[in-house]
Amino acid sequence: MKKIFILFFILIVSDSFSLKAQIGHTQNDGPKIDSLNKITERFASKTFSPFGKSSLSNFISSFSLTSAYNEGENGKIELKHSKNWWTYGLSVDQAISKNDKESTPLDLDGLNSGTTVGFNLQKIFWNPAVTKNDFDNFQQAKNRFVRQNKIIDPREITVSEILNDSIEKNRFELKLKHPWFFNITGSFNKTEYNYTTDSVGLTKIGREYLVPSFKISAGAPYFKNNELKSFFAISYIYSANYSVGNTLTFITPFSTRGNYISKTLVFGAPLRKTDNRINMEWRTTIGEESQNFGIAPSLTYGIDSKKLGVSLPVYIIKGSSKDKKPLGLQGGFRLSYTTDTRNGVLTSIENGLVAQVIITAPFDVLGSFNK
Amino acid sequence: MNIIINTQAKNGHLICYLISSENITILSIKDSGSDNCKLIPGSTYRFEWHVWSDMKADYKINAVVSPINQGFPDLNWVKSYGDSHQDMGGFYFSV
Repeated sequence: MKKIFILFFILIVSDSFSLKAQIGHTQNDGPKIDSLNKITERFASKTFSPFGKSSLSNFISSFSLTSAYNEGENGKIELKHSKNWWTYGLSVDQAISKNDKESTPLDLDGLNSGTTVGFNLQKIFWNPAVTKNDFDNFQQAKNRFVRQNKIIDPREITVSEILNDSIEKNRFELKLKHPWFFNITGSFNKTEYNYTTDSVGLTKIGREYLVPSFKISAGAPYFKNNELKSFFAISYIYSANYSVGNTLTFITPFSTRGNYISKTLVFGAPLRKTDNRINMEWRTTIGEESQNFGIAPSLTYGIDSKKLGVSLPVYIIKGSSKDKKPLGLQGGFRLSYTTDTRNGVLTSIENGLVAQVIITAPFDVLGSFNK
Repeated sequence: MNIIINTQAKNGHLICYLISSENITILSIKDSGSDNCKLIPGSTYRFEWHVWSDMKADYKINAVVSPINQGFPDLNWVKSYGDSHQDMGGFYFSV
């Protein structure tokens, strides 16, 4: 019954992308490419990023609310299904707040305005079978380990148990092959803009715009001593968005008593812009599991916009409680710097640096969807 | 004579191989699954498995040979990892 309700919700939200006139609140600049991935009980994951750019899709379904300073609040539902190392995903991201103030100039990490419906396809590539020579070395180390310890079934001994032995870890070494990921994400964002083109009557026009975005990513985790340390990914992103003009306040007289009314509107229809971007991302966590915090620096270059952006999200990650329930609000901050590269002069720190505090509240209501 | 292998992976990824003495992969089971194949008496096989996850995870591998054979007692490998991990196990056997 829960599945039917949520699927119905998704269908309702994603219905009707045709342009039509409406009266509504003013929206700001166009949609962000990478909606924020939120995980519920996965907060202890060493590659988890609560709200930063994530080239690696979540493997599980999730529902979360995120609030970013100056960007507003978004709610997002992700439904995922994994089989045979393929992960298929469908997501709906809905802006909740009505007064989005700013948008990050290069559309780095951020929340989508309007409604965004996305699909995601991810594949793990992993063929870790070792060579016969390496396998034989492993058997020899295991035999030594078994002779030194009381082992019920020697067949069950693994490499990590041998390497945890103070003697064997200096005699035995085996490098295991790591997996790597390929990810395709596509989405459509529907955003409403209110503006006027009538400088006399100031007639407000409300129109909805549908913009696509597309991202291809490849990434791999980095293990040290068979423990996951970090994750690296590179992505190509195509995005389209609408930029609006400045908000103007028009003061017009009415009646014969010298009264005036004011209207605040954007003058001129929004302009469509597209950009092709290359992004590199590195994610790692620091500290023990129960006190993790993570960073995910990324570098983005807009081929069409000629802009370069650097982002440094810092996540405050808390492990789940003893009964495996998420610990509620998770938060952090993000520093982003964007500069134009056309003239060879870097944008000043004052104009290019954006600092945000972001809070995400996960809701572990979709646990039944997850394997 | 058959070998039947069942695997379970929770919050992680597992792959289990059955490899012949000619280094040919006879079976390959990913995450949670099952498969079986015929074994040739006297041949040496490699039973090998790998796991990884970016978080704590639980794994199970159950393998039985039918009919019962002294060369391969029932295998029931169960392991939990409390943090991110990558690991492997395996052994040679003949029936």
